[in-house]
Amino acid sequence: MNVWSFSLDLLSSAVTYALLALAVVLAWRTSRVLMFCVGEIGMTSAYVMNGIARAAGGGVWGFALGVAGALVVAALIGWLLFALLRQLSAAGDYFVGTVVTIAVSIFLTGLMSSVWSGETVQLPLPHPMLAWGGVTFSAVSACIVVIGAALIGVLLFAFYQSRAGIELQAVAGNWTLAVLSGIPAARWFAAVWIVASMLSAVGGIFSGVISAVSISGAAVGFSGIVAAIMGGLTSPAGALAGAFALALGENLTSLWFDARYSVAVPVVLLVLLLALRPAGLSGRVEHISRS
Amino acid sequence: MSSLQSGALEPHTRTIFPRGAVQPALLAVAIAALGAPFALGGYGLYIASSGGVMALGAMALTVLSGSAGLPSLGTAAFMAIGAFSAGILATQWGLGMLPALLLALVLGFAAGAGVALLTLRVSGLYLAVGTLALQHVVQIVATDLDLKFTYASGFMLESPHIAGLAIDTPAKWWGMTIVLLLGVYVLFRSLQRGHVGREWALLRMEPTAAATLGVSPVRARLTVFALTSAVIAASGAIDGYRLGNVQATGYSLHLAIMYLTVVALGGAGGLVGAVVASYAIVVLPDAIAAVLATLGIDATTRLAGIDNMLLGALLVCALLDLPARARRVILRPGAASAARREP
Repeated sequence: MNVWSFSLDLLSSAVTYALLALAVVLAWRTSRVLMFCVGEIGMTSAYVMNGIARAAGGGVWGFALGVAGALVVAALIGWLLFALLRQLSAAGDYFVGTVVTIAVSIFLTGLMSSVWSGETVQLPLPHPMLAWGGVTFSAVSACIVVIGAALIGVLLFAFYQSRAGIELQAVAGNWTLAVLSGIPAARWFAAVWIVASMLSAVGGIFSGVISAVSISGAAVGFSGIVAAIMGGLTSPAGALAGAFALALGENLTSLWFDARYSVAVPVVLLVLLLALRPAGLSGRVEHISRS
Repeated sequence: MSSLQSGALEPHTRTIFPRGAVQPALLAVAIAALGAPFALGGYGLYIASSGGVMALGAMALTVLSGSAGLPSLGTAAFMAIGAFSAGILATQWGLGMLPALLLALVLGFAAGAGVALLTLRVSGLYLAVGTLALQHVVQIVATDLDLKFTYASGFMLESPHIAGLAIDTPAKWWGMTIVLLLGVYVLFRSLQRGHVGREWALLRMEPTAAATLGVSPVRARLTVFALTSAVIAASGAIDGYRLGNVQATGYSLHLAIMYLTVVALGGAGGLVGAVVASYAIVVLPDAIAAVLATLGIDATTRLAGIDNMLLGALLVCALLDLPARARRVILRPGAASAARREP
């Protein structure tokens, strides 16, 4: 394995984790609910994409149609989460909201097992190798890195540079004051859950492209959650750093030891984090402000 | 019931029955328990024991997350600790159920205290994430042990012997389950009602007041975590013997979520509720199969998936208190909005 293809593999898994972690951060920043079901939403969407793409006869258009269908399904799940979680705002118990997302995750697991029998499927994609300047690398991995990086760039821009970042923070900080200031809080709340679900869908499809689509593939969500916690749950940039560190740890473990041990990397990182720096690597709550 | 943590200071003191009805209710339960071997067939008794063994762990979890307000996703991990102790002791050293129970209690106690120590600095959600980490650690270790000792076919356990008596029929299992249920119920009930339970409740509701009164949060958290984990691990060992086979795949996060559903359905801190909800969850797959069969649908291969979907839906219903909402809307339209206006 050469350095280039190793870096590309590393980046493609980092981008996948980053998308899932950003979904978790987005949800947490707005509603203080830990979005537990990112992996399950991702895998359900990947199954939907696979089904539609195959039904449409494959090819570029079939693939595009599949992705569109998967995003629609993810948006529906996001709206469902919003509809469930808005019932909770009065109770004020954040853990209950998290358990609601856990319930949704087990529901989706059941859905995948009863609709698709939980089979492992390969997405109908060619895996060509490209050669450029004497270096060969996987075209699919390169595509994932480029598309993922573009998506992350747009999200970071929205977070840090547009009104959305500040208004979302206002909604999370004080719902009543936000509404009184004319911020459409409920609409933002719905938008956040829908966007977070669609991000999970993209993460799940990436993960399906890199390895395969299966129920156990939903475990990729755990890596996303750990990456978000490493970033302190409130910081998009921190989540990116967490995702990169996690991907680096996993890839180095596979390279030097055994791919079997790479599943332990997020667990070990999580345990260390909880014992030593529970508030995340930066150890602070990130606020966005502009004067 | 709407939440795992919120509620009155001592939610478990709520009475389900009116005061005068407690003794007849107890009598009815006793008659049902003693009459079960005669009324139910082998399969019925098997289900009755499964529900009872599940209720052992569920009572411990409802004390941990309801009474003490410490949410945990580690139930399956603690059960795996107990079950694997039983499996390894039986297949490698030829030891029976009682040594396995003792080892499970000790290991569960130590693991619970360890998790509590590791997560002393965090609370609420982060605590749940910490127990989730334990679940993943145990899953990895259990899979390795399973592979190493049994080539992933699982530890086979024979019928246990207690004081020379073999527990080898569904009726005997049922008898043992009743004794264990009573023991665990009395243990947790006395803890909840006594000094210790009031400390937990105070720490959950008013941490500052508790600190002022000299209640040590560290000691209380260590105690409740270690104690409930020991009971859950022991129930895992018993469950392993009941199943006759212990496999790593049986102790997934799914099992932990099942216990969480039981606790949410039974009401935070409610021991009787936990027992009733355990039976509801254990009967669920058979109930679905029966309903589908009467509808003429053959869904044997998809049953597990449908069971999971229903479990998720049940958990959401219990958390959001949907039955109570529906009742309010149907019986008294406008009552919900009126209640909101009142302080």
